[in-house]
Amino acid sequence: MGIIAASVTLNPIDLQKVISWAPQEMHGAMNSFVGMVRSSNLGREVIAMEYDCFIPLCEKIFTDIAQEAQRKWATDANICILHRHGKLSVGEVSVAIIATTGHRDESYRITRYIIEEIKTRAPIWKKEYYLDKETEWVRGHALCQHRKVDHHEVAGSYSCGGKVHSHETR
Amino acid sequence: MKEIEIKLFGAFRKYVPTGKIILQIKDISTVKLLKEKVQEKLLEQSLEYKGQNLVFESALATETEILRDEELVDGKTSLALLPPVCGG
Repeated sequence: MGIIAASVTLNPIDLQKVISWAPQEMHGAMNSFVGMVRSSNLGREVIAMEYDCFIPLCEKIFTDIAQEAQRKWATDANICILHRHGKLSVGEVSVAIIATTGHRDESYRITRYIIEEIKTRAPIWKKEYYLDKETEWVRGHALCQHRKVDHHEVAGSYSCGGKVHSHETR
Repeated sequence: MKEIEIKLFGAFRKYVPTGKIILQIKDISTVKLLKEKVQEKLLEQSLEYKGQNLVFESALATETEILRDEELVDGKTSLALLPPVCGG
C-alpha cells in the first residue's frame, strides 16, 4: 500500500512542503487539489472564514477516505490530506490534497474523490465573516449514520439525514 | 443515573459558547433518547435556540465513529454532537 498522511492543522499550509512530502520515485504522476477562502458567497462579501473541526474523528475519516481511494484506483498511491482549523483570511489555503500514482488518470480521480467525500463526511464546519461585520455558520450536509461496512460492501441507496441517496453517486 | 458530556461544534457554538453541555441520563439510553435530552437542554439554556431542530439534523459521535440513533450509549462519558458538515 502507498503512504497516507492525513491531518488537521492550525498552521498555514505550505504548498511547497506538501508537494515535496510525497515519495514519488516509482510514480509518474502527481495531482493536487487546493481549496482557498474566496471573497464572496451568495452575493455577500466575505473577509474571513473560521474552520471548526472535531479533530480526532476528522483525521480518522480523512484516512478512511484515502484508503477507499487507494482501493478504488491505485493501492500504491501516496496520498496527503491537510486541512486548516481556525480563522483564515481571504486567499489562504484551507485544504490541500496531493496524490502520486503510476499514471495520471488515477491521481486525477483520487484527488477529486477525496475532496467530494470530505465535503459530505468530514466533521468540519465553517463560519463566514462578512464585510458588514455580521457572521454566519455555513449550512452543510447532514452526516451519514451508516457504518463503514455499509459504504463499501452493500450496493444501493441509503436514507441519511432524511434524504435518500446512493453512496456511489453523491 | 450517570453524567455524560456532549461537545458541541459549528452552529451549536452560537447557542452555547462554552462548546459543551453536561447531561444526567439513565444508565441505559439510546442515541435517539440522548438527542431528545440535548434538545431539551438547549431549549432551556438558549433563548436563541427556540424553534430550532438542529439537534435532529445532527449526528452523535465518539472520537472514532458516528453512532446510529438506535445504538446504546452505555459506558460512554463523552460524545460529540456534529451538525451538518461543510469542509473544504
